[in-house]
Amino acid sequence: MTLPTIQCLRDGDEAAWVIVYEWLWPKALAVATHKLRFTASIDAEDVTSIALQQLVDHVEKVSTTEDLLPLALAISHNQAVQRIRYNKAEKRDVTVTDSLDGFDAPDSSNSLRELDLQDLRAFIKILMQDLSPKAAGVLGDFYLKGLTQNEIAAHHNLALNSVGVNLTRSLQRIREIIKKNPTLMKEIHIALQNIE
Amino acid sequence: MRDELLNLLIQKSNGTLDAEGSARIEQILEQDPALLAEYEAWQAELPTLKELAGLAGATSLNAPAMPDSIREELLEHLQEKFDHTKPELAKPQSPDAIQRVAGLGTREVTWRWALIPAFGLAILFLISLNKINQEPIPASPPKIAQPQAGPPMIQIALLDVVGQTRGTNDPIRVQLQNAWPETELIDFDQTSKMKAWRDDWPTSTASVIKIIYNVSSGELILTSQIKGENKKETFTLTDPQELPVLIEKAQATLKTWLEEAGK
Repeated sequence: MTLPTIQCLRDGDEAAWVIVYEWLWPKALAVATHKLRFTASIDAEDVTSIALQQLVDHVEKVSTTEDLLPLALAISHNQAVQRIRYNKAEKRDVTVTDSLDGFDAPDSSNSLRELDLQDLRAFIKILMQDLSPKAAGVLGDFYLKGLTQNEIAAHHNLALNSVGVNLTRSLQRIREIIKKNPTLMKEIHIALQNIE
Repeated sequence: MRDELLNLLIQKSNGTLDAEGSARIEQILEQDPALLAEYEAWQAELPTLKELAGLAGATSLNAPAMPDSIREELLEHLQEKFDHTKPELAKPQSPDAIQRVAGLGTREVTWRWALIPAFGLAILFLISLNKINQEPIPASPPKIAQPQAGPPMIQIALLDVVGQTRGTNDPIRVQLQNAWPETELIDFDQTSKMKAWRDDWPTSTASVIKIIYNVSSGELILTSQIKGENKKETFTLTDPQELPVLIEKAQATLKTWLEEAGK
């Protein structure tokens, strides 16, 4: 797919935005769906739509159209987390939501929230650069589509053993990258404890 | 054996490990107890790693396609952001269209001026078509009364597409109602109904102010027609705790508009 230039998007060219939305939609939706897998009452499409709407506000902050992908995924992730928090607070029937995750610091300063979003975006960008498209495809099939290793082997025309090798190497690599960013790891860990 | 153990653990954490695999884990750990510490460390970290693996995996997905309703919603938001008048292209998927947009940034744009009259005519044509073929709205939205010239009429609406499950004690409702106590709060669970209500302005010169809170997007939208002049301001919420601050901002903006109109 040929993506439009970032300038077209900054100018608000609708045709350019539609191409980018079509490109990002399945990816951002998968993130929201995965995040909301334990929360049936929240519509992942609704969350994704809002995440893509918010993307427009960030278009000045990226240098290429391709950079919108990690940003869209990070926004979709955070938007889903925010909705889960909101839902939990509503169920507890409180007027004020607690800070349940590391993506929303207790002092609720915008700069810190933005920093967290940018941290996550940067991390996804590293993952994209580090993992091959095939490795990402195997991870997507296993963790997002829930396919078994046998099914993945058939889907990607791989030997069964190499699916396992592919997964373990990818996870080892993610583990190495995340060890360099302990703050993000802690944030995600806290978020998981409070969401699941 | 270490890699095999890790692969079995990965399958276990994803719920795809069968009984035979579980037994194999026990067997490996019995054979090599030195692997137990590493196994436990992986077990503790896997939930986090799974989340990140999901993010990495998402980058590879190209399906499903975006629903038409979402595309329309996104385009409408885009038009509001960039203050456009009408979507020019709803679904440009042909290679020609993609090529055209990809190269647009470097082209001269002066030729576009020639399109303005044609575009205007096209819009008039579309509007007339829309008037003729307009689909009936399932349940008609609350109409605003046609007020006479005088003090502005304030209306508040709450849009929650998840569904009207909020009771009267819902914190959002309470905060909105307290901010404008003399105005009845109107509930919408469909964007289309809310938009029909939002765009329904009196034909007289009376002043009307509409305040809309969209729960999904966290946007508090202030829109008005004061002495024939239309104004709009959107305040975006990033944290539910900020709603009172947003309401205060909206009230301040409203006050400014009314003061300006009174001059």
